[in-house]
Amino acid sequence: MGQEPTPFISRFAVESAFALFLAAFGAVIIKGALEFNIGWGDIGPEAGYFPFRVGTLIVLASLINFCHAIVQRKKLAAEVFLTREQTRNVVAFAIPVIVLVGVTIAVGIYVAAALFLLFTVGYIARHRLWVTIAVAVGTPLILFVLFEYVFLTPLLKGPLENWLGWY
Amino acid sequence: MFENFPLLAQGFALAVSPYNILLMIVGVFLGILVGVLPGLGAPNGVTLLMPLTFGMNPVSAIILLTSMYWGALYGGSTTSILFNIPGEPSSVATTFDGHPMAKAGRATEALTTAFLSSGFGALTGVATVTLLSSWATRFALRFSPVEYFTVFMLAFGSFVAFGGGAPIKTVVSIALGFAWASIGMDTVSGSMRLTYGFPELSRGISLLVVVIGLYGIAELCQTMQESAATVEPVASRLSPREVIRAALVWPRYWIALLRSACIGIWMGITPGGPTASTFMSYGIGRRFSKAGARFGTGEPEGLVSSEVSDQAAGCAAMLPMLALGLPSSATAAVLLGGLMIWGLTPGPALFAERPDFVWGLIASMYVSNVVCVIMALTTVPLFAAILRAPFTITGPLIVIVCLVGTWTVGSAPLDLWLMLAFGAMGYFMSRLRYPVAPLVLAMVLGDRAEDAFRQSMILSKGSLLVFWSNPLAGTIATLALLCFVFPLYSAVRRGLGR
Repeated sequence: MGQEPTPFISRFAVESAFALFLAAFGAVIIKGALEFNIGWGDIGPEAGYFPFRVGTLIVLASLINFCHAIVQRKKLAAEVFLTREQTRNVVAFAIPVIVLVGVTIAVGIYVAAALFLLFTVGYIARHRLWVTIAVAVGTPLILFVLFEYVFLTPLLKGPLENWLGWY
Repeated sequence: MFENFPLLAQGFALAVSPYNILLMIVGVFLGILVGVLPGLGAPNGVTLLMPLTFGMNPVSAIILLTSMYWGALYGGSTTSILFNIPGEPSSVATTFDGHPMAKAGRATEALTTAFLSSGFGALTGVATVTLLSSWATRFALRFSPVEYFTVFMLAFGSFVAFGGGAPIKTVVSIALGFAWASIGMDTVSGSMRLTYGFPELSRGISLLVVVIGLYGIAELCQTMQESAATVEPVASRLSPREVIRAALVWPRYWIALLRSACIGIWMGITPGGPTASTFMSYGIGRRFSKAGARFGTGEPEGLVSSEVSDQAAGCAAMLPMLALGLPSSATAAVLLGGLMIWGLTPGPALFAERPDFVWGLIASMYVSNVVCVIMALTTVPLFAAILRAPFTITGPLIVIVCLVGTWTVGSAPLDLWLMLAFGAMGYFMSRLRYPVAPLVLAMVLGDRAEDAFRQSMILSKGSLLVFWSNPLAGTIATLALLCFVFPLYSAVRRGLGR
């Protein structure tokens, strides 16, 4: 791991893109607020009044942040947001987590957790087989006992649990 | 001022039952655990535990959750001192002197000093809450929606002025929190707002899901960014003799103790929060103390300065939370959300209607902080060992904890996707230095701030001058306005000047 970190994404790129993203988000809020009366009714401000102003504030403040980033372009462009290695680490973390949520909704939390831990602990981090199995099988079992019997807060189940008779 | 003592005695009778003591020990243990582990902190630790308390009686539930909060503050100090990793944002200042002390072989002294200082800070904070609560509720009883709205604005204004973040980014955070809070049913007209045709959004976005994403997933992402973050282990065995020796030296820092306690209490009652108070206390200590020049090189007084004010602020923050329903830290905001879920309305009426709850909580704070000092000292070797477990195992386990925690909030698949979205959002926000705490506060207060504003406008028939209609509201409103205007004005001027 002794190699020099390679700059990949500059602070300027992310700072300006995020400001624009937030401005767009503010615009979505404004659009939602416009479905209602944004002014005054018989009983004071109507339902759209507050969200409309909050949305406008997000748009304006984000545009100021965007302009601020443009003004400081040189300084921010020299600042590294993520190196190539860091980007790889973040992506390697994020993609399994996104897949985990999709798989959870399909097959339930217990099975998804086992698969996720098998993949991250065994395949990505390359821990020993017995460590991987202990973590990937032990965690869902402990969760199962805790949530189904101790806390009485059932978690999402899928086809496997149904087949075994738990719903 | 002293009419509260009989009430406090009743609180002790209620809080100090074997069951509640057990809850304190469990809470403190879990708190130290989330404080120690990167990727979990007090706000989302409390959040993850909250759904499990919905069935408990409110007094036991709040004892469990607040004990967890105190424990997290102590756990954050352990990692700061031993590993130079602030487990909590409020323990950043602890690393300045704590870690150099540990590296110089004075880990035991540093930990003992830190925990005793935390305990001292906590006790002064709770004592303040005990003495001032009657006065604060009487003060709060005079509040109409007009005053409430001005106080809310002052809370947000102080984040803009003193929060340490770029003022415009702080404003964006606050506005985002308000926007998310307004999703779902409008409390005044009953209409469904900002649901964009998703029926799942009609019950609103849960604060708990937002916190798990913004703090949990985002922080994990940041930790994962550095491949195999290696921690330098420092000797973590504690010899009892050294603990006693450090404890005997500790009272010598009495000036720093008192000074930092005052700063912490002040920052806790006004919505400054623990993090800002530690930096302020450390900064003031460096400037005014005789030992100030040695701050940053392993000077115990620097450690005392940050630890005392951290806990004093954390405990004193309970006063505005209970009396006004105004949380001054992200964790207090989450606890406030919990109060509402348990069916309790924070504010002056809470003291009159549920004295058992309020005084049980206050009494438990005395006891649980003593539990904290003892447990923090005795569990150091255990947690140091946990920290040495490879993060490639604890990281994925924390992901599963976040996933399970999100599901228990509302058993809704949409919440899981929202957790990811807020996680991504939180990652970019903290990397780009958008402060997250004001966003959480805005989400908790969003509906109440909007209601207070609309009720004020109904009272005044639409005139904003109502906020200056009496001296109390006028003073607070003017202060709030100044908090917003000055930093923004100078920021815009500086930005354009370049």
